[in-house]
Amino acid sequence: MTHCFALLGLLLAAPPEVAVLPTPAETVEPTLPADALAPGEDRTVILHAHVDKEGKVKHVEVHAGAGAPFDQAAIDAVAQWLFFPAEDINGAPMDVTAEIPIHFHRPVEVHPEETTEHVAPTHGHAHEAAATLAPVEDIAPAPPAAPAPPVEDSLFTVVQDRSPPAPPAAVSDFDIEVGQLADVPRKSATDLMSLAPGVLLVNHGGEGHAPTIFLRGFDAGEGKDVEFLLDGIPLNEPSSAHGHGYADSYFIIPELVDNLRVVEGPFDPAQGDFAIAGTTEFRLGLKERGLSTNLSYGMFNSVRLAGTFGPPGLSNRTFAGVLFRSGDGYGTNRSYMNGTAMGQYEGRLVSDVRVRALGAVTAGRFNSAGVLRQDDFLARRLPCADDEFSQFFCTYDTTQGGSTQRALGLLEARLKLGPGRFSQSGYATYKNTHLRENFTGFVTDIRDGGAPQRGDGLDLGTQGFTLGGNSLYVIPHKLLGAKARTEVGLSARHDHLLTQGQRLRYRSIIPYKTAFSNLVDVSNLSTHGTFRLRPFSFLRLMAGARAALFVYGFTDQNRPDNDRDGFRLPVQSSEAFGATIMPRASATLEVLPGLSLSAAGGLGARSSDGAALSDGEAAPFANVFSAEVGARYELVRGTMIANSYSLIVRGAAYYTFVGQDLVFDPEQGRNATVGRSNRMGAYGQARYTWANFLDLNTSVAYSEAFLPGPDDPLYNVIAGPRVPYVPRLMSRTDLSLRERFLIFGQEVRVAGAIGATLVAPKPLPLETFSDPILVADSSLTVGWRWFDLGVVAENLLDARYRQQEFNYMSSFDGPDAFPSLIPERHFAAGAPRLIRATLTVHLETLDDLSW
Amino acid sequence: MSLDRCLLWCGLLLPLLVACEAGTGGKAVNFDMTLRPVAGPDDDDIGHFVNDRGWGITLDEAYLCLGPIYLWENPPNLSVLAGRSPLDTLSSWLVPRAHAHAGDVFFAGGQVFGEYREQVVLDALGPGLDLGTVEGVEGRAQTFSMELSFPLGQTPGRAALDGHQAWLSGVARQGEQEVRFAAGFDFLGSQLDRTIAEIPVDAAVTDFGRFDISVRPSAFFRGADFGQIVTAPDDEGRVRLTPEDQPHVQMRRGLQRHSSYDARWRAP
Repeated sequence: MTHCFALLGLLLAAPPEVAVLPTPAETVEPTLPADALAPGEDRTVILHAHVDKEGKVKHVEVHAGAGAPFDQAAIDAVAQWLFFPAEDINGAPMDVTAEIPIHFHRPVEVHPEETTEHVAPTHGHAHEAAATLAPVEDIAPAPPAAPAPPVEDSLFTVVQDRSPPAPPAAVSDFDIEVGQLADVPRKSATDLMSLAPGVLLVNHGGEGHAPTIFLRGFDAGEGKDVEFLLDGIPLNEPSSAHGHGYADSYFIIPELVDNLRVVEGPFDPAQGDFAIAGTTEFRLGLKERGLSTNLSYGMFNSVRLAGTFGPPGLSNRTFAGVLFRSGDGYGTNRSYMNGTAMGQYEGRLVSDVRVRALGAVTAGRFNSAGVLRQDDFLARRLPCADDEFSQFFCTYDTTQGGSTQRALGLLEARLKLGPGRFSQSGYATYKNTHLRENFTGFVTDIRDGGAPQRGDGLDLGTQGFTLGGNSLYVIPHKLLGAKARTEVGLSARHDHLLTQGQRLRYRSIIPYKTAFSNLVDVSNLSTHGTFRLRPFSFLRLMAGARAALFVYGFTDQNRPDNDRDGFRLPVQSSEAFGATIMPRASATLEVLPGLSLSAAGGLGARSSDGAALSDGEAAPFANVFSAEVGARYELVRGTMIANSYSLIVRGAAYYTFVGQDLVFDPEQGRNATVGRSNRMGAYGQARYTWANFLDLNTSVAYSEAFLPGPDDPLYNVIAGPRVPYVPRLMSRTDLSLRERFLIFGQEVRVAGAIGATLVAPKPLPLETFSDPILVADSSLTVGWRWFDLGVVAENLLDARYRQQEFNYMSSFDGPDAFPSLIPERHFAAGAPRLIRATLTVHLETLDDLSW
Repeated sequence: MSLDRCLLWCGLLLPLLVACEAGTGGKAVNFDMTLRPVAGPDDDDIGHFVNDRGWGITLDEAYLCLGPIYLWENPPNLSVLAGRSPLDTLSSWLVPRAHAHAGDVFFAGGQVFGEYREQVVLDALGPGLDLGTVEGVEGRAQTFSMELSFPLGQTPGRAALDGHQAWLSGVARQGEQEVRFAAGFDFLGSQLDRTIAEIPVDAAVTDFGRFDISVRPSAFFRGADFGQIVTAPDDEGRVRLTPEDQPHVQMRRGLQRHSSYDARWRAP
């Protein structure tokens, strides 16, 4: 079988008033003569296509040819394409001429004689995308192809799948293309967040438990301070049993994450609830068309099976994927098994209406080792074998773990409406999660008569659904002759949750006491307005505000059944109400080509935990103020993937004030409120990509966080003790290399990638520091024809590290032991080296269903 | 240089680039703890004394099962009231302060600055015990608490307690009256019942100091009137006191009374 790669980069010879580029909605692949290309040969044809207001291609001409067969194949195909039309500054569709480079590539054959029999047209896989407004370099027509074995006319097409995003709200507004860095091993899609500077992800709960996020001096828990979105679906759970704002993104299939937006700080008025430290949105897409299956197996019986399907000819935003993961886990009590199915369709309903439907279902179960006391580990008295490995990866309570069931769906329509563009989405999610944790052993169950404690195990359950919708109206216009863009958004959301916490008997996990049982209804109505103005070509201004309204209905089902007046019902309802306004603004000055300076500031808010509200209370918000100044430099050269490179360098310094912070309470197994806090820091980040060969992303971040006392003045931002556990200095580097080699006349694909995280010693309570952490994950893949073989090594250096540390009182010496009331260091062990072998099979699909 | 060594140096140097201190406050310390019986100021000896009811008491046996022991941050509740100035009192009249607690927590001791998590059987007529080095946190402790606990299976000396949490025996004399007595005490109710809380102390807990706890057996007998015994003596003429007997009630209170105990902090 041979491959013919065609690479499409959409380039628009756009008049200045074009606001929205045309994007291909339906594509047809070129039919190429079978013997047109020699093995390993590349050809490029650049076409100019006239796309009318309906998105139809009216005229195509060759701007730079590659020979008659290639030119004709490209013209014949592109003439049949259908686009989402370009739009002018008023949102009206308009005629444009698009410049479309199409790249053909044929890999080297193993047995040329085997490839002569099949020339049926096929759809290929999209590996690369290019969409740029930079000038196209001249490409000289290539010499005629030498006689060669017939080429299967397979095409790699890529469509530009979304309108250009609004300008970033701040330097710390990251639009991260995953691209080649997908080769760096990651446990889950959430780990892609580490491509943004200063993000550290750890997990004390096991494979399937949402990770804890450290960002900008915040211990953001499992989402309390970071807003999570899955392509428009909010993931944070208000008043979750496991903590207000708990967000589980573990289930997202990494292969389907095309890019992600990470906003560090509350600077964009579109950012919603929980955007205290920032916002992360996973945007889905699948560039590789056709069917692909990836199977890996490795140490500790770890199995990972992923399958993706991208129907050829449809937008990259149309795909389906499944993922199954299981394993025994390292050490004791860390086995897991989970599966996810996701699918999305994007297409045109009528001429100007684009629709998107997204669905996902996931289920999983996992065991968790929980945390260990440092003194027990050092004394080697943990209930495991005496060797260092067994002790480090031991557990006190083998009943810890959890399960997750989740279903999500979204429907979205985008259309031109009046002078602007309008989008409307509706979503629904259902979740049922149970987490069994035991942080304190035997501390809380003190009984009369000196009876042995029954145990502090907690079963935290959250069950319920979320319904919501988002409306967005964007109007490009002019103000006093300057370009402007006004955006108005409306979000409505209702959560209905049953949250329960039960104390469990040690080992038997039979519930003996209800810690809490709440029926929570939270309605959230938010609106935001954003105004962007470009008064001069070198100055961009943004100002806006977000207003949020929350109504809480709360039923405590665990009240006592008697009081001083006798019997009473153990159920009591309460209501609360809260509203807040959050202004946000930024200014960006382009001082040199590619170099801009930016300042941004904004207020954000975290809604109240319903469990902490009283009846009739004006629900307080945890308000955050953040400001930053920074610089960004971007250099892009070349328009063709094969010869392009880009460099983005940025850095910023920031300050953040939080009015009511939350810290982890091990007795409750969830976060509890503390006072105000101050944070400040800075970061630097650079990403360099060179054609399809190299992709390097590196960052260094520094942060400080303080908890001032009630008597400390507001202006003293470094008053009070430091917030423990938060990384002060950390660095992350991701590097991916891809190359093709000729070995014995055969083209072989080789890819290597490494990702390394370095965390300097973190401040811990009692004036101590943690050990430094250096963890490196790497992969090496060799591909030939339709399959790739590889090896993945997580924690390549086999570092023994404590991925998360706590300081609190606990007693794991048994039900009769006297509890320690002095806080002791506890830690969750980081994973040891894990090596897996991988096999990836790329299957092309045929239009012709006959055999 | 090996990779591990290189990483270690990197790890050691990095915090120096940032700051020398974690800045999180507090300091973990270790100090010694002792438990010794002492005589009262008017006592002849630890085991020979006259109580406030005029009974001369000679102890034959005095055993207590004690532990765990905690050093607390907060002062006793009563001392907060006692320490008020007239201005404070006037202020509290004018603007009364609301108080609330969880109902099941009698004394909120605040942070714990030191703890001994074992239990020991103290021979209150013996030389005392060195409890060894214990862990703590630097700070000023203003109270400590001890638990009169039920001896667990491995606790040395538990046989001397005759199955109780405290055991006292001896002879009480007043005039011609002589009462040979023995009493076992159990504190099996709530934690409040078995915990001797709010024992005042002023201990600036630091590294390598010593916390000496003294137990005054004569204080156990305050208010005990051995003429009010309803239980008949046994064949050997010894009265096994029960909760029906006034001395038993008073001795039980004495064991729970914080003034029966004291402590001093000795700086290194």
